[in-house]
This record gives sequence, C-alpha cells and structure tokens, in this order.
Amino acid sequence: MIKITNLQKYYRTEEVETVALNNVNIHVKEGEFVAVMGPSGCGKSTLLNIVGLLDDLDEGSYLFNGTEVAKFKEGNRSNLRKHNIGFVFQSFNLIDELTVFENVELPLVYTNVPAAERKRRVEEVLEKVQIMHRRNHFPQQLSGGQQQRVAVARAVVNNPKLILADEPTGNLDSSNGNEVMHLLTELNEAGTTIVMVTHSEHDAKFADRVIRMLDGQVIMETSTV
Amino acid sequence: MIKNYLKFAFRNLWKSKGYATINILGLAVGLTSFLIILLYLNHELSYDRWSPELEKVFKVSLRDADNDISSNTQAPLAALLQEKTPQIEAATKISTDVTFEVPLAAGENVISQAGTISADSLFFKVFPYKIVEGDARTPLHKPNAMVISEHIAAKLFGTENPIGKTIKVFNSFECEVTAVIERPEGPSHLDIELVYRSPYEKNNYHWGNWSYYTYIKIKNPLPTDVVETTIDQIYYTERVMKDKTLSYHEFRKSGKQEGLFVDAVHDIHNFPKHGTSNMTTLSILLLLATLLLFAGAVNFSNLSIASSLRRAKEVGVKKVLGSSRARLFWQFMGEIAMQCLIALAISMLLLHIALPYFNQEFQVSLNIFGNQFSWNLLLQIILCLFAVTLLSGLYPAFFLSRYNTAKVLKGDYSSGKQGLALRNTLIVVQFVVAAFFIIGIAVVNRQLNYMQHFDRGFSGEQVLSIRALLMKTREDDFDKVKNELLRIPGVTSVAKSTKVPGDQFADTATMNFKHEGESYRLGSVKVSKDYFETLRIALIDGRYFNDSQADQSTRSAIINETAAHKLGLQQAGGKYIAYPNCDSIPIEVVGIVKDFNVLGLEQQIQPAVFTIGNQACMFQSGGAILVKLNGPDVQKSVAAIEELWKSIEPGFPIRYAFLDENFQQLFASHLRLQRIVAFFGTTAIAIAMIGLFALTAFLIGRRTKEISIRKILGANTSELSLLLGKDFIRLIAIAVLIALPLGWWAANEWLQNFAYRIPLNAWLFAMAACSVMVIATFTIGINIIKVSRANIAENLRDE
Repeated sequence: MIKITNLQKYYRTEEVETVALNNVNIHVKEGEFVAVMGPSGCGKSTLLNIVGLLDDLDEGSYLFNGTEVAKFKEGNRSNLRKHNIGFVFQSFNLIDELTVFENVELPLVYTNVPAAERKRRVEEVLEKVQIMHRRNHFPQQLSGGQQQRVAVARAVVNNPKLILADEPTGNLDSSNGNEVMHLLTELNEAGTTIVMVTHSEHDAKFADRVIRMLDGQVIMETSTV
Repeated sequence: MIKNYLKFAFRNLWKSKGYATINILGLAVGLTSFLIILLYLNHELSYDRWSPELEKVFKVSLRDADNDISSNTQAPLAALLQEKTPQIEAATKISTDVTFEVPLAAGENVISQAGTISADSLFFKVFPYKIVEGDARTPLHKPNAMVISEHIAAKLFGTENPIGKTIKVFNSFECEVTAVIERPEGPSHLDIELVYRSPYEKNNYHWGNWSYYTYIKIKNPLPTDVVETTIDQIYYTERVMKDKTLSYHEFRKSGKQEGLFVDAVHDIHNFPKHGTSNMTTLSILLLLATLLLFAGAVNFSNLSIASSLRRAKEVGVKKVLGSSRARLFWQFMGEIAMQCLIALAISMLLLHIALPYFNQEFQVSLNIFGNQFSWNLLLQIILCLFAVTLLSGLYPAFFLSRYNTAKVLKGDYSSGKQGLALRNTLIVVQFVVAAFFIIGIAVVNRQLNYMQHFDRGFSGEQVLSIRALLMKTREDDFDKVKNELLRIPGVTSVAKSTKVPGDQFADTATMNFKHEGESYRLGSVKVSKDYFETLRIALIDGRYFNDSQADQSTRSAIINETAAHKLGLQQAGGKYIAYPNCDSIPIEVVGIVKDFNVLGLEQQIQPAVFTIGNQACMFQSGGAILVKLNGPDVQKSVAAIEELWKSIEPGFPIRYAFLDENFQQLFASHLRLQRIVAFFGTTAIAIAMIGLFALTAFLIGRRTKEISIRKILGANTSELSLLLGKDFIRLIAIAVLIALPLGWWAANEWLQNFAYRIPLNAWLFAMAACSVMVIATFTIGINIIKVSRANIAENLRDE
C-alpha cells in the first residue's frame, strides 16, 4: 500500500540545513499494523506527516497504492487524503467549538455525503467507540480517553484504508491508553492498515511490525508476530 | 534593563515587519488627519488674539424694531457711546468692505489693494496695532491722514521712507502717510492693510447714514453681557425711547427687541452672535478626524493583539523565569509607545507633504515648525501621543501580560472570546463610516459632474467680462467704449449687463412689475443691444433688441421663458409690462428668450425682464462689460484690450475674468467639499480596511489549528473561505445596512442646496454597497488565503 524509496527531507533555516530524514525506505502492505519508534527528534513524526501527505518530501519516491504521489499538488493530495487516510493525534485535535457528533461528522461533510447517510454513519461509529451517550457534548467536557475515542471515531468514519496515529496514547493514562489500543487493533483486524508513531514499547507490541529510527534513518525493523 | 527592553522591542518589531508596518502606517494616517485639523483649529481660535488689549474690544451691532440684525450702524453712534459711557475708553467707526480692492496710486505706481478701510481719528485708540514708524500717538489726527502697513509701504515706496508721502485713493483724493503699522502676528477678522480718514467724513456724519461698523474699547475687562446692557441702556435712553413712560427695564420686559448688542472681537470670527462661521464645519471635521484617530488607535490595539499570539510563549517563559505581570505590562506598553512615536514621526512627514495642499484649499498658511511653532502646540501633540499610546497599548498590554503561563507553555494560546463583541462593534462602526463616505463620494461626484455638463443656456466661451470702475464707462461712454473695443482684432461683439453670469454676488432682487393690472415679482436686468447675441442665448419668440428708438429708451423688453410663463404669455409682441410705481410708461415685450442660468445650479432660474437704458423709472448700473473674442490669438486681443483700458479708465488697473472661469468659481466651494469628502473618505476606507485586516488576522490566527484539522479532514480553500469569511461578511453587511439610510439622508440634505440636482437612484446605493463588500472581501480574503495555504504539519507541530 505504501512504498517509500530513498526519501530525503531537509529542514532549512536561513543559515543551517538539517537533514530530517535520510535515505528512508519503507514498505507497508495493505492490512498491516506498523509501529514507528525512536527517540525524540529522530524524524518519526516527519515521516508520518509525509506518509499522510501533510508535508512534502525533498527527494525520493512515494507510491500510494501504486500511484506516485511525491509530486502531487495540494488539491490532489487533499482529495486523496480525505478519501483514504484517517488521522489520530497525541493531542486529539478536536475542534473545541463543535460537539462530539459534529466533530465526527466533519470528514463526511467534506466528502459530500448526504445528511441522512452522515447521521447513520456517525451514530454507527460512535456506538462502536462507545461514546454515543456523549454525542452532544463539547470536547472540553470529556476526559482525555473519551476525547481520543472521538478522534478515533472521526478518523474511521469515512472508512479509510489507512489510519495514521501519532502517539495516540501519549496524553492518556494506561487504562484509557489500553482502550484506544484495543480500538485500533479491532480496526486493523477489520482490514484497516495502521501506521502508528509511539514511544511506548507496550503499545508497539500491538503492532505486527516495529520500525526503529535514529537521526532520520531507519536502523532496524522487527516483527512482533 | 532599558537597553534590554529597547533591544527586545526592536527585535520584535523587525520580526513582525508586516504587521508593524500596517500598524504604524494606519496610526500615522489617523494622526496626520487629526493634526491637520488640530492645526487648523488652533489657527481659527487664534483669531483676534494677537494682543491682550483686544480682550477689551467689542463690536456693536443693532437689532431693529422688526428684529432684523444689522452690523451696519449709524455714523454718530460711536461718538454717542463714548460720550455717555464712562466705562468706554474709546469708540471708533469704520467703513467699507475689507475684501474690496481699492485703487491706490503713489506717483506712477498704481495698485489695487484689499484691506483698505476708512476710519475716524480714534481707530488706533481702539485697535492696538503696533506703529513702527511715524506718529505713534495721534496717527489719524489730520483730516487727510493715512496709516499703511509695512507691506504696502514696501509695495508703493520700496525702501524709501513713506512718512509724509501722499497716496491717491480711488483716483480722486489724496492722503498723507502719517504712520506705518506692523502686521499683527495672528489672524484678524479685519484684515487691515491701510486706514485713511475720509474727506467726506463731515458730510456723512448724520443718524440717517448706516454705513459704519462701530467698535468700542472699555477701560477694564468686563463680561460681554455687562457691556451689552450698559450701552444698550444708553442707546435706549438716547435713541429709542419715544414714549417716556417706559423705563429701560420695563421696555425689555415688554419683550421688545430693538436695541444694541455686542460681540467680543475675538468671538466674531468663530462664535458670532448672528451670522455664520467656520466653526460648524470645523467641529464636523474635528469629529471626523477624532473618529479616524480613534479608529486608528483601536486598529493598532487589535493588530498588536493579533501579532502577539506568536509572543504568548515569550510571556509564558518570562513568567516562569520570574518576571512579574507588572514588568511584562510595562515592557509591552514601552514597545507600543515606541511604535506610536515612530507613527508620530511618519505623520510629521505626511503633514509636511499634505499641509501645502490643505493651505491652498482653505486659504490659510498653516505650518508646524515655522513661525507658528508654539509650546502650546507641542504640548497638544504630546498629549495626543500620550492618549493614542494609552488607547492603543492598554488593552494589548493587559491581554499579553495576562496569558496563563501553564496553558501557554502547553500550546494553548486561546483566551476565550472576551472583548469580541466590542471589537465587532468597532469594525461595524468603522465600516459604517467608510460606507457613508463611499456614498458621499459617489453622490458628490455625480452632482458635480452633472453641474459641469449642465446646459446653462448660454455660451461663455471666450467671453471676457471687464469690471468698469467708473459709472461713466458703463453708462454715458458705453457706446464709445464699445466701438473702441470692436476695433481690436479678434473682438467680435461687445455688450454689457448688470447681472453677469457666474458672479458670486449677483443681484437677485426682484420687484413688482405690472402686467394687465396684476403685480408680478420679476427681476430686472439692464443690458445693451447685443447682449443675447454675445452670449448666444436662443430666442423662442419675437426678436432680439435693435437700434430702434423704443428699444434704446426702455420702451421694449425681452423676457425669459420663466417670466413668460409667470405672466402667462405665449407669444411676444403686443403685450405690455411696467416697472413698479411707473404705470405711465408701458414697456412692450418684444421677445422671449430661452431660459439661461446665471446664478449656478443652487437656485431656480429667476423670471427676468431685460431692458436697455435707465429711462423707465428705475436706475440700475454696475455689472460688467462683456467682450466676445473669436480670433486666432486671444492673448493678443486681451493684451490690446488691456492697453486700450489705460485710456478708458486712466489710473484704474483693468480687472477682468473669462466668463467660463467665472462660472467655474461658483463651483469652488462644492469642489472643495468634493476634495474634503474624497480625502476623509479615502482615509476612512483605509483605516476600516486596516481594522478589518487586524480583526480577521487575529481571529483567523487563533483558529489556525482548527483550520489545519479541517484541512486534514478534507476541507478545501473555498469551504474554508466560506467558514472563515461568513462572520465578517455578516458584520460588513450590517454596517452597509446602517450606512445606506444615513448616506441617503445626508445626500438628500446636501442635494437640497441645488435647484438642479441628480436623482438619488437606487443603483447609486447598490453600487456603493457593492464596493464596500468588494473592499471587505478583498481584505478578509488576504488573511484567509494566507492561512489556508499555510503548512498544515507546521501548524500542528506543538505536540
């Protein structure tokens, strides 16, 4: 599903050019659950942003489902993103002014799903993450675990083929964290590909495969199954 | 520490160059317009303040039994008041209009000079002009004495000593220069260059002569109303009281108004008890300028907050490191004060550029650093800067220093919706003002355009209007003058008229003409035979004037369309009219001409009767001689006319104007209004745009993260634009809805000044509304595009 070869990414300031990612090669198959690990600043979040088409790559090739997307314009990327990729962030990134229901509904609004259909699908996914009873609450009224469940619901409501999770349990206590990991595992078992950045060895165990990075390079790949 | 603050301040300014530039420029523009008006206000309020002695000088005016106000008073009034009032130190009477240009001759040197007055010997006892040469004690004592300004002395005598020299006035009598005065350092309602004793003083000295302005100077300062009651009582006793039974107080109690009233001289220019002054206009301008400055400062404050979002972290870190809130507050205040100071410096530069235009427009000579510099002005500017700094700085400084440390360091910069309603209101107000001005600009421009292209019914093209000073030239010698003028190559026709198209003070009086036993109020204009042909005025019926005896001796008249309508005449010929009280001389209406506009478009065309000569009961003179030129070299013809004039009116410099230019003069005040509206309108629009920009930058800036999330979830630019723009567009729409009726009302009021005016079409307002929306959309669009193009990954990288 994802095939990245010889990826180079630089960050430039006026004087210094820093290599963020150096000659990274990654291959993720459809239905796989991959964890990316490494110390802070090793480039794992940058990699995830590039995989999610939120950031450009400077050199190299990126095949998404066999299509070269490295040189895609913003319009195409946006289109590809909204139909294929769901995001889960460490800090949830819910919109404060919108209710739980409206937050989850948003991706469907942007893909022009009719209102009745939206309602059905949002309710279905809220049931699945067991947050239906708080559908009219605002994000600030929820606990961290609940907020992240909403974020997961929002990521999957469009039935994306790929979910990108950036330290999804980073802001959660262990029991809430476990809940979210189980949710992701269930989704993976249902066929969704997942790429997750994490610091936690515990969370990494939920993945099929762990990619370890250091200083912008992939140094090791281990299979957990 | 201060050095550190300054360093920080400059770095921060540099880091947000864009914001800072808009910030400072916006404020500078507001400050400039405010300072201009402030200077102008200072100038206006300095009228007749050039000597402390003027505190004791009052102008005396009259209210007659019909409650009519007259500032012209009787010749002996000044002497009467001085004689009967112990509190009066001196009283003087002066005559003539200071704006009238009087011919003055010193030998061969002839000039036309405004600011020339005649006065009695006590003039300089009342007015404290400084005499720099000659007789300082009794300058106007001699019956033919004359006092001139240094300026006139230089003009007429160069470097020679003028004392004892003679100057011929009106080419008829000579005066001897006894003293030279210095022009006062400040404006005065009486702009005097020359004062002389009139040789006709004695003959004119009687209570029937109402040609004088009376001024008194009291010994010790007293309130105006005390002065007024004192002299009014004397006037009542000496002049009004016919029925000896009523005392002064009983007379006043009975509600009768007749009597004297006074104006302190320093109030005459700005706050006269009767008549008009610039103060209303000035107050409106001041209000507008204050609004603009206020808007500028508010924008500044909004922009500061908008740009401060990025500094939240600095605040958080500084607080963690032990900086107190107060210290942070003062740091931000200092930064803002510095920006205000830069804005002031820029506004000084703008002022330097703008003042010459303003001076030309308002006929003043304002400047800020030249001779008009005063500590008072400097104090005002410093106060103004202080107020602006407080206004622009207080809120942002509070806002910034209040950031919650823990929240900020975690990446939460939002601080709720405090003050949002206030800021929204300010934006609405700014756009109401901007939309109002856009409507104003549209209406004024269209009306002026309409006026310029209005068919006046006559052609003033290449018609020269010459002011003859001597009546002989206009009356007895007219035919001779006409023939001499016609001999000049390029002159095709010559005529005269007592009512010259485009004259500012054209005679608009009407009188009761008789026609078939009925009275009709019509205007009377004396012309010469070729008047209508010279101005190419079209004939509707009958004929133009000819050389017949009847025409030449006021037995025939031509009337205009409006008059014909009023008299119910369809055709010329066989119908008669007569001047008031002159039924014995019937005048035949021999022609009807098409209406033509001589007074500008403010007034309806008056019904008019044109006749030749003064044989029929009514004497009219004045006006001008009209010369139609039509040759290859107009300048040469004009030069020849100038040369000829020296023999027609020797000793009087020729004064002429082209009729078209004359007519254009009538528009001068409207053209000035057009430029003022355009200036304030542009400034208001600019400031409103800056304000909207600041607010959108701030509010959209706070939503950067939300926007990124929405983009990740698939929102495209147009969806984001709609999301972000709709709230602002709603605000602007509200502003437009408020401005439309206001603008309609103001435009309608203004258009009432014109008898001939444009209709207030809906499309004019629709267009204005559309332009406001376009301007607003553009301003908001800049921010939306900026934020929706930003790098998403960057915006979410606070984790």
